[in-house]
Amino acid sequence: MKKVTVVLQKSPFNTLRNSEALRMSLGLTLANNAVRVVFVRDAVYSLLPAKPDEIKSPAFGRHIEMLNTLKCRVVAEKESIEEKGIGEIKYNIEVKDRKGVIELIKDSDSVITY
Amino acid sequence: MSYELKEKKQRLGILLTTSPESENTFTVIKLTEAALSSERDVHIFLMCDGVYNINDRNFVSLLDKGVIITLCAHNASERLLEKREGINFGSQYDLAYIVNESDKFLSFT
Repeated sequence: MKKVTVVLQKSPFNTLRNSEALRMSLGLTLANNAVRVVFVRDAVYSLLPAKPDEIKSPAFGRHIEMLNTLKCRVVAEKESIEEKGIGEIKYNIEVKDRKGVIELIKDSDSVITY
Repeated sequence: MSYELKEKKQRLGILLTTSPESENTFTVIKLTEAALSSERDVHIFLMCDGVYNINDRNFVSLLDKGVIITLCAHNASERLLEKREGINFGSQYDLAYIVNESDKFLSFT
């Protein structure tokens, strides 16, 4: 099994790319891949209890929930959460410090940054 | 009877998600040519605006050199791109297998 880590870095509300990256992450589970998704920097805004569909932005929440259902690791960087002042996180995710995120990336066979 | 043991070719997988305006296209073309010259198989997957690379003559010329190019048909359909000969209109399922079966995988996003 290959360990594949997808790293999201951008804010979700000015691009479709986060939603596409999450769709891709789900797709990656179709082969023998252990998929991990990591939210860093502005991408942690994706974890807020927001309603992106109300501004006609793709509803990416269902992708995160499906990754949970498929037992994929979904991780957010602690430093990014603190820096952006994210209080309430809507999804079931792991919070790791920067060192932990770096270890996760180092432990990967492939890394896809988005 | 003698058996010739052939060494399995190394496989390079590439994900390209940016349109041809990005320098990524040039980088991918040159990197692919270098990989081919060192006897590697190359499989490129296009998604997001990367699907527009099928309009780039230099990029598409990689097909003649033996490169396999697959794209996300969903993204191509969103951008009203029509099917092209030689290019596989596939899905994320294809990307999952490219990532899984490549010896090295690079993403240009």
